[in-house]
Amino acid sequence: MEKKFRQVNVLTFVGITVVMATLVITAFQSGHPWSLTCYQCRACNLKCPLGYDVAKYVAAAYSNNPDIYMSAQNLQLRLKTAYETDPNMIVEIDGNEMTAMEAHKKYPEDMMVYVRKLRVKDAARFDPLEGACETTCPIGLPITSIIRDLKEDGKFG
Amino acid sequence: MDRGNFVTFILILVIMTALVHLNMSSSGLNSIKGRPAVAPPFVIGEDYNISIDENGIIVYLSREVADRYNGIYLAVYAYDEDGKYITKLKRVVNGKIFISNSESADFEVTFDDNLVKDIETPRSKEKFYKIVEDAMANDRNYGLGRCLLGRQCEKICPMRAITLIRDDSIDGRGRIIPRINLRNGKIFGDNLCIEDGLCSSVCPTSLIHLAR
Repeated sequence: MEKKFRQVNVLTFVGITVVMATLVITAFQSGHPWSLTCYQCRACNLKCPLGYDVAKYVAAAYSNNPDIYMSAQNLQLRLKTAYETDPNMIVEIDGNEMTAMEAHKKYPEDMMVYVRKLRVKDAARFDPLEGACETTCPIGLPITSIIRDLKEDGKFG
Repeated sequence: MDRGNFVTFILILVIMTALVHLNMSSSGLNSIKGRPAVAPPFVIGEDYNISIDENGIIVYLSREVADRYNGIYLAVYAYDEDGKYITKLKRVVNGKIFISNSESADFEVTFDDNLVKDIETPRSKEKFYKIVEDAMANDRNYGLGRCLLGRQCEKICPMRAITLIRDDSIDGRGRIIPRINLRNGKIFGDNLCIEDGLCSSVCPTSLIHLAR
């Protein structure tokens, strides 16, 4: 192999190792190291009554970052609640998607809106905690323990 | 594969398997030991009233229920013509539950006798308010329940002492409840409750609570 290819190989390998090692550390920091074993099959999404992208809960756990955004299909909130929760939350009104801040300027506060994207910690706050997502997980990951963890204060641990 | 690679591979496999099998389901739970009990059904006309119009369904809750469940999800349900339990989970907001006329059901449940057999996402996209309206018109059971059908109580019970069933009592109106095999006196055995309190700690609506 030519020297420059060997260098690219080594650099790529080092880069991947650093990323993987960081994930291992952050997964333990969040208190949910089992989240590393999720292989993102997304079977959990199929049963969520709110249409959450449940795998993002797991991603938030192994990256120790509850501020990442996840999508939602069936979560309805009053515009006031959405705006107060996160002005950057993406909501849908009359088929148009916009941030809660933009919507708050144009529409009445007590209007019901569909939430399309929200932070994982906010998703946990509005989660029913019924655990339907767990019943479809092929390796039985305790996803509700992440939600329970975030529900109170939006932080891990 | 050389020996070093093989050992590394086995090591990673063992670590991953250990992580998967670590029982962390109960982490973060504040379980208090005690004898579990199932909460009585909500009484229509007393605890709640349901009204349906072209905008959808509104469930008006009594002050007591509204205060207890504000911000928490409850299950509005109705039985269809095939005897399936169809339900929609919604949050209590300002003492009411509102289900608009565009919303579909969340789960449908089939039974084996009165045991819950399957809990599936409905294949039919029929609007939920139509199902409730149909149940009302045809004198089938409908109402407000606490079970959100996540089966967490069944899963967390180390003795496998819990099974979800249909409540066939008159007051129960076909709601779904956990059947808990309580032990009598000092008898221990398979499938008998050991009163560890885990089921009540995972129940999001306190359908299972501690009696003492």
